[in-house]
Amino acid sequence: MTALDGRERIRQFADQFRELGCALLSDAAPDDTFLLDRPFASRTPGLMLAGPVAPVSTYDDMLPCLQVLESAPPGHVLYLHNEKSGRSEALAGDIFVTAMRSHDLPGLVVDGAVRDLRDTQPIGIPVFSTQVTFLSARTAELATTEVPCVLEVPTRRPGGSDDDPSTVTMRPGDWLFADDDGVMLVRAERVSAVIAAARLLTEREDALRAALDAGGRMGDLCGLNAYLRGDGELRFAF
Amino acid sequence: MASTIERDAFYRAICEYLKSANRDVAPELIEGIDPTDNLWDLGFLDSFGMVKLLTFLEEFVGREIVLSPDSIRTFHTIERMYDGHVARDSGKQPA
Repeated sequence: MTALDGRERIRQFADQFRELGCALLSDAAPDDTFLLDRPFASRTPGLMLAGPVAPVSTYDDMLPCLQVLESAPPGHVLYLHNEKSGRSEALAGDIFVTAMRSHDLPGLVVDGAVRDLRDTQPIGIPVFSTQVTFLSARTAELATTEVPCVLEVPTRRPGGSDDDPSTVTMRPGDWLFADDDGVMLVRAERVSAVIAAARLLTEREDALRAALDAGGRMGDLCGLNAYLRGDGELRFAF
Repeated sequence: MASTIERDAFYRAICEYLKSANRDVAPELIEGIDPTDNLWDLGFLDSFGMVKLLTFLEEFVGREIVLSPDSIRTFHTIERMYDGHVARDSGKQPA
């Protein structure tokens, strides 16, 4: 147990996440991880994003994006939300992401469009977005007074119905985690516990992998027969 | 604060927490847990319970508990929790 300074704490959690991934965090702490139910895709495959979030909202306008780029503390990831429904113009490209790298902002999630994918990949900053287009947001007129801001974002719970949409409130400082599997939010006050739980789970899953590698059958190891008889539980970790 | 948490008080608090988190288990069974027992092996701790336990501990000691990859391996018994994550800051000696 260590009391960590802000930047060191962020670095340590981000490093641990890179060994875990969204799926493990979700499995370990389903009540404390919120899938962001937007059609996000990684534009930098293989890169993983982790950090406290600085969100901002815009209406196809670059100005709020530049405002949050300028004001976000080092170690934070940016979340750009385009309020305009339908087709988004590109809110970020390789120049924006290069600036993020120089500002020590380690990740970008855009509920809207990005561009310059070929030139963005080598920069090494993970980028996720719902759309891609080469058409840039050209206006810089509508400054925002809320930087960072609070957003309501659609979420989906395990077992949730498409007919029962729900949202999660994204506050500045909450954590975003993202990899090729998706994007999730964890409350700031739960992030250490969620990572610890995922760490525990992965150690237990390692034991299951070792048993499988040693020739064990999945059905035997997870208790399939007992489960089908109704007198046992399925187990995927030891 | 951590500096005022004695070992016995910590053990009692964890025991009460485990009772509240495992209402389907006879309280005597939980009171019989030895501080050196592995809570995971006994079925009182899993990854779901880990988040709740850490949340409880953070509220109990009044600060965030950050587990490093190494220190998490010492988190399976009540004794190790105290020695590794409470006593270290309070200057208490390990059992």
